Amino acid sequence: MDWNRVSVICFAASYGVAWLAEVLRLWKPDWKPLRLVMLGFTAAGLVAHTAYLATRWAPIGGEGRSLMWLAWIVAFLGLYGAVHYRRIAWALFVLPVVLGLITLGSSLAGKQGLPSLVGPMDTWLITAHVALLILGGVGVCVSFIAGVMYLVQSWRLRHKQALGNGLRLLSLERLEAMIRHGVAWAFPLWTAGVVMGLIMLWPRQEWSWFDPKVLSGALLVVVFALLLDLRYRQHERGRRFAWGAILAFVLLLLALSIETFAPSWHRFGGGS
Amino acid sequence: MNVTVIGANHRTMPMGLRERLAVGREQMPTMLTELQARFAPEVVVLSTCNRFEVYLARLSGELLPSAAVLAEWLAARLTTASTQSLHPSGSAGLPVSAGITAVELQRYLYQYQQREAVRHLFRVACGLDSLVVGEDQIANQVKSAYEQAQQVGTVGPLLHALFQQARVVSKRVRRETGVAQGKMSVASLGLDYLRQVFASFRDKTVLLLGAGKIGELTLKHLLALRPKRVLVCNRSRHKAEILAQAYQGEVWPWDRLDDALVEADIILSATGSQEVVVTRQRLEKVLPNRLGRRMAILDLAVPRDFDPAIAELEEVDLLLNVDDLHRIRDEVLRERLKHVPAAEALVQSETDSFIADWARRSLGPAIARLCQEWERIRLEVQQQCLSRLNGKLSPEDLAIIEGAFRLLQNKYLHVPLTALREEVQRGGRLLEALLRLFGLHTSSD
Repeated sequence: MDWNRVSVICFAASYGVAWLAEVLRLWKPDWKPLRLVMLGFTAAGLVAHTAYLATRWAPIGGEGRSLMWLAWIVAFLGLYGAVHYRRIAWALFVLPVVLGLITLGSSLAGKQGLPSLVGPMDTWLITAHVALLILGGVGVCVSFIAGVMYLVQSWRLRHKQALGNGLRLLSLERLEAMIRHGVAWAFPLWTAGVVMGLIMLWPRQEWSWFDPKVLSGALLVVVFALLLDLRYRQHERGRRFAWGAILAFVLLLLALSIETFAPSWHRFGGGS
Repeated sequence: MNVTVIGANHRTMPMGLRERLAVGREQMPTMLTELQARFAPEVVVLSTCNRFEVYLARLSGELLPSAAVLAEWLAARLTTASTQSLHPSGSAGLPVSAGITAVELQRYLYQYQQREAVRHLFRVACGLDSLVVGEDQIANQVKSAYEQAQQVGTVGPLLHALFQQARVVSKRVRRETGVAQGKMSVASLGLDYLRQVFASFRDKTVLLLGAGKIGELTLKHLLALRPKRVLVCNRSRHKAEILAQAYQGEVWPWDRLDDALVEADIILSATGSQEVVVTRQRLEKVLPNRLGRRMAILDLAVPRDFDPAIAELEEVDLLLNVDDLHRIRDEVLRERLKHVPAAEALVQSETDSFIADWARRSLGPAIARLCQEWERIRLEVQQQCLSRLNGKLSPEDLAIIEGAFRLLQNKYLHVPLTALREEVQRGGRLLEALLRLFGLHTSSD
């Protein structure tokens, strides 16, 4: 099989079918074939996704590539969650995030290439910068997914809805722990990634603290710090914390895609 | 197959009479033995608060008793019990006001035979015939009835296969349809909701407010999740002490209720108070001391102990009262009813497959006996014929004659055996007729 022919459509469609199967499980929770379809298509999507990234392998890349990697890791975690928590509607929340990241990633691909003015010595720094931001992004995605699940679960409990077979979620306590761990994981990694980026930008005269890329990245660090403060100092656990995780995810997307609508020095070449 | 069920349930018989028919564990062996001696070699009696059913079966085709005959026996039994001023279940007390005639009793009884009896048992085991559709207790009651009969020795191959299959069908229906989804008791429903809030209970403190029965029952369920601490807070300290002792809890003084509200993660409230015990303002005052810990409240009291406005507080993850739990229970029941057609279809298909399986099982030995008998006759006649022609036939001639006899036997047997297989699948009685026709009955039948 020619893996070079695997396109974004292949794995996006596969994830899409898996998500539809998961939606149908809300009505037919005990019908095993639906779960098998969901797992099968997620796994198939992941294989195609892996092939896509492997055949277009490059140690560093633009935001489009980073988002594709981020989507791959989230899809992998989603599949693990779906296998591990048989009855939880895991894929229902994870796959839309994966599809969103893929869509954004493919729309950014091509628009933003590799930084052209980078010397060979900086390659490892850029690789570490990108890897840290992607791993930090994983934490943000996990806390976002848990945050959305938390709000749905909290809404159901507050409205005293019957707990049918259809939509099964983790307990509020477990979801809150997931948000907390996601943020605690993302904060140091993302901060280190941003700091590394700043170290690379420092010798250049053109950049400023008001560069949209720098601002959005730093803003996310501030949001993380606020979230951790809310949790550990002010003992905030409830819906506000979940909304904070959602805000962090929006800022992550903004930080990764801001160059498409705001000029930035981030590409080392002076904007788009 | 020869099986029948005669009985009464909550729809056909008033509760008073059902209570009189009910058989306790101690009386069951006697009843089973008597029924076996009088009516059929295989007997199982299913006696619950909502139904009384007698399952009778025999391998041979002899008639099983009708509802009228059993009604007569039951009426006589009730009369005997009434003269002894004993409730049939053995518990002295319940006076029997008057005897009941067999004709009266028969009015309340239903009877299902063969395929319908099989289907009925499967429906009962799945909870499709229950007062609360899909209830899970009945599956255990059916199992228990079977086990008791097995211990007494009134279960034979047919009822053994039938009750074993009933268990399988019950599990399948509950697993594959939504007919048993959700919980129906207030206590277990409440617990289900608590599980949606907390991941672990081992580090949680439970506060039981009041000494109401429902609160105690819910606490009993909750203790299975092993909470770290149980606080019992009641106006009457004596009652609190009794409960605390029973459930390894700590007594908490009523005048320090606010401190208890700070300590507790889960509150089960069932006081007899006529007024709201915890208002929103009162709880709001203690919330800052809780350091953002989660809070879930099951207000099981009527009238309510907790101000409903408390549910709006950000810090309270769950507040359910009895009305909420009853409404949810009704929703669960409505949801279950949607799955009844699917469950009925599954029961029907399982009934068909049981009948077909049983037919195959019972047909095998009968066909073998039939073939053996014909084989014996063929050999006998063939031997007579060949002995007369002794020495006049070549080995080839002998082979041709033997072949002709065998062919004749097979041709004669082909049509009845085919008809037999088809008829037995339909639940007909041709097998019985055939066995009689060829004199193939054995004493074991």
